[in-house]
Amino acid sequence: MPKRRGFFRTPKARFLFWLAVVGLLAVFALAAPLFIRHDPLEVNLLQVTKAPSKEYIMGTDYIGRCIFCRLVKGASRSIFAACAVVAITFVIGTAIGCLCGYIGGAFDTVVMRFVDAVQAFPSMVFTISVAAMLGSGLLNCIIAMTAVGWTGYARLARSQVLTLKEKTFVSAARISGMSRTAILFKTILPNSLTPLVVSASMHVGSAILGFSGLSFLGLGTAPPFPEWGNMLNDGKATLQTAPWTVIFPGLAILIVVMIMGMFGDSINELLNLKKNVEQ
Amino acid sequence: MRLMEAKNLDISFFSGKAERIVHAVNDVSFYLEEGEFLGLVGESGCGKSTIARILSGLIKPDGGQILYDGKEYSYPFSRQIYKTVQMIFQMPRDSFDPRRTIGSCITDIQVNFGGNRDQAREKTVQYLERTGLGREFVKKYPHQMSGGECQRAAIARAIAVQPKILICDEITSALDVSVQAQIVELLQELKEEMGLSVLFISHDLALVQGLCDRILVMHDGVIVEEGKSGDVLHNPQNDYTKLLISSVLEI
Repeated sequence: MPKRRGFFRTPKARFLFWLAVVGLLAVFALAAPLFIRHDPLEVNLLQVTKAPSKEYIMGTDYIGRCIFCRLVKGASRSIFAACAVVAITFVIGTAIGCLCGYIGGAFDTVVMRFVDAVQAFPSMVFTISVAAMLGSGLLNCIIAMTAVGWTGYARLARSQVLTLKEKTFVSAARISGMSRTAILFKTILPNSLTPLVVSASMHVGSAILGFSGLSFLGLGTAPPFPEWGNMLNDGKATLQTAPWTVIFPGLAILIVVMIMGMFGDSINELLNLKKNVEQ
Repeated sequence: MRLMEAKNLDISFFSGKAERIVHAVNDVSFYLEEGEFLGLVGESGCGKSTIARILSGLIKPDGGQILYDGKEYSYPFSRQIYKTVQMIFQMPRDSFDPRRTIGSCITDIQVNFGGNRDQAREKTVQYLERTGLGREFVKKYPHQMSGGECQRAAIARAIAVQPKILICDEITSALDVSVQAQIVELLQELKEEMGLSVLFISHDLALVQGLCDRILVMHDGVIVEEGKSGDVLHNPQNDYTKLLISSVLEI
């Protein structure tokens, strides 16, 4: 690989850079209410589908709401819902996967066949049907995405545990008088986390995308509350006459998903580097 | 007195590669006297390591009995047995958790058997120093150490609970010859000092005959010959033992 110059030279620097970008994004999303000039819910029929201007820097939508204000207000919803989904699926999936790998036997078989069944459906279709069944709403969306998302972590965690279980240092831990529970928590779990963390960091981007998708379909945040997916939906009628109604929310999704992807990549690089040094 | 006795151990594995059942250990019985240095030799794949894993309770035999101090233990072993029996593995670096320091591993084993953590920390340094490693190794990770250093640390960990029996499974085979000699010497010293009984498993007949009081020769899961170190070497009864000895002499 060609050597990179400057600040991006080391994986650690790249990681810190993307961490800072993600941090800024989070601050931006949290501080949103402080610097928006219009109420994101305010309907102004005199200012319908106005092009971007000084007053409305990203224009207005089909009932005259400020797109910029809706965008920043919606950011916290999209990003934090995605993070919540990732955090919950990560914990549940890892816990179930670890137990399956460690206990094995009938428990493992039953749970893994269930995982197979869940994974046999196309995930988006399955999420949509669960969300539709529960009804629209932020919480229901999180539940639906969690119900489908944990299986990936479970499978990964299980395979990690199965490999680690056979390692000499696990046998050594047993001979050192550690109990079965202590071996799982002190020895196997810390050694299996790296790929799980990497996969979680990669998952954030796709969770944002999935979440916007659900909102686009009307299953996520209910109107009039802003969310990037339902903003796209609002804008699709005016796509040709007022393209800014979809361009800006679309760009926001694109940029945030990209940032999350880069952040995930940098974590991957950092952790794999550590692994290489260890070996 | 017989510290450890194995009676009619038997275990088979299904080998996916060969698509057949491998009878790894076939009706094996032997014993370990107190203070004895017992060698177990045989070619790779003859079932030596399987015996080590059965004796240390890591795998369950299909049949047979294991007695420590005349008391029978069945799988899974109670953890208290590891106060009496400790094991050292073939791959020194693999036998330590890559995410933990050597010091914390050696301290933990003492705490697991009822030691006070602060005292255990002090003793950890003593055990490391006894095996020829300095104080600075307490904070080292396995990947920062050489194979020989890791094996010394593994010995330090094993003796930290003052066991009576030490099972050494090919502990020198991953090390180069000069380090091998140092490790074996250390083992001999510790055996005298602590009154250990050692089951020394190796494929290296030359090494075993210089070290052990008594030798067991294993071939295809069966013990084919047993006797005093000198007797086995100079007057082998079994054809396989003869072959093994002649192959060493040729080299």
